Amino acid sequence: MLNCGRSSKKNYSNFSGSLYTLDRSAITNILVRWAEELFCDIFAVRLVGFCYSFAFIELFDVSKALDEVGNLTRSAGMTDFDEYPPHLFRLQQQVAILKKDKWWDPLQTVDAHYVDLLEKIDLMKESDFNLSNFGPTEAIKVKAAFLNVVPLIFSELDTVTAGLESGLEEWKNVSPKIESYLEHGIVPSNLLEKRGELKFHIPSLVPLLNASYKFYVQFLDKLLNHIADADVSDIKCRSEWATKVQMWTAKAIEDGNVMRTKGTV
Amino acid sequence: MAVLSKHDINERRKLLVTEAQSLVITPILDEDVFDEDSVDLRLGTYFLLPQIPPQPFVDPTSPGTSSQSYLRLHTPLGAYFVLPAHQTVLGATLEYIKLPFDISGQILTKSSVARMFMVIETAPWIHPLYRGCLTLEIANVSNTAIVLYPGMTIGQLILLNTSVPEEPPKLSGTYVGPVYPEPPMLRQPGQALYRIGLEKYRHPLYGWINEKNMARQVDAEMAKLTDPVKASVKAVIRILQDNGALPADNPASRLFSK
Repeated sequence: MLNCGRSSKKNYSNFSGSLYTLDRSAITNILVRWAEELFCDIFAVRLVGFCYSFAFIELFDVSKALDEVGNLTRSAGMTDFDEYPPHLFRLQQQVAILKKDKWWDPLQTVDAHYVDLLEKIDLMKESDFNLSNFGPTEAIKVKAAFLNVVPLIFSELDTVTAGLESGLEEWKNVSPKIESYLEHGIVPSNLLEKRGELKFHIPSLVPLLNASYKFYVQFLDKLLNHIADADVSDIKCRSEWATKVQMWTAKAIEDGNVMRTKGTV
Repeated sequence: MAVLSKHDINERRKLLVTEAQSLVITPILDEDVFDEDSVDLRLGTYFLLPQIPPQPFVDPTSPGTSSQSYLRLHTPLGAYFVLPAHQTVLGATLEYIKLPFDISGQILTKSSVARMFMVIETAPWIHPLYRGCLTLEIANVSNTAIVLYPGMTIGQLILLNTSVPEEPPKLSGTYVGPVYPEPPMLRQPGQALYRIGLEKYRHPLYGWINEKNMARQVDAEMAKLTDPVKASVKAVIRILQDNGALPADNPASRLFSK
């Protein structure tokens, strides 16, 4: 990550000669921070898959960028800060990684407005992003400079994560099972491979996180339908059970670590 | 009501979780935990340490009893937890259990643990359809401190067939799906006592309480007031509550929840 920031800084230092001279140092620092932030984003997506983007949307409340009928209003997520570029831009880069790592097509099967939002963001053009915290002339130059750096960040990511197993194939195989366990209120740490046989599969971290997030955004109602007195339209009730899904997932991750390393703890 | 054998238990474990008769116990770290008629359970990594209450007794009717009276601790596998002599702690099993609709369970202290004068469970019955890590009421009744190691086998689960005719349509119960030890979720004694014909009960600090009657009287008096006066009355009560003059465990506080 730091290497990425440094290499971007080195590269950008050459470019930034054309910027407004007085602010060059400050702007360079901002761009380095943006580069680091973007690297962290796409590194996380490569490491854990689409659940990072979902969590990102939820944490920063980027869903507000969609209006009631699902059109992208850009009313949220378009502001740039000293520490990071606009959220919608960051998400667009995350989509690029999801596509590159082949998460994108299976993600289309997830019925959630988060996916709609990502699709809409993917269609945005570079010209749709306007930096608001710079003067008009600087904004154009800063944007051009940052866009110039972005391919380098991706290149750095490929170097850092070379040979990393994405967990996508395992997710495809075990996601329905994990969802089924969660639907029935069971920690999905030891999945029965085949009915009638005492063989179990311990899911890895990436399938667990993504299947659980998919369950949370798409199938929480299924769980609530099994619970007496649960009201699917009650936010407090949904929140309580979403927390339980989160706890079961965390428990499954802990259990998996223990089962894989048993005897060595 | 017959005890399930190892064979019966494994047959249930082979069923899909979508099947009502399926049994889940996870994680299984060692197949030796399955005895001929029981399953060994391990101590989990989370504990709730009871705190000494400000008053000289624990009042189960106090609203804060369940959550404020415990300190939550995490003792990871490989570390240990010392339970002093004559002290108690809430723990949980490492295993998460899902019982079928036609199986009840009972958790017993392992004999080797019991012979150290430690009791792990005082409410050992597990209802059909239960799912979750089992909360353990661990008590060291010996005269010396005992070291607890998360991951150690501490209890035995006995499973028994029950003659429930069919699967109930929904899951219900006070505790569903916990993975940590659960503090008690206490119900108001007034309501339970009222159901069996007792209109009032005696509180150790506030004397005789008739909650229903009190609520009725307060509602009737409040109904006579105009909205601004009601707001003023509530504001006064809030001031009393905020300054500890109407403590949360006073039954009157329940009428004016914050």
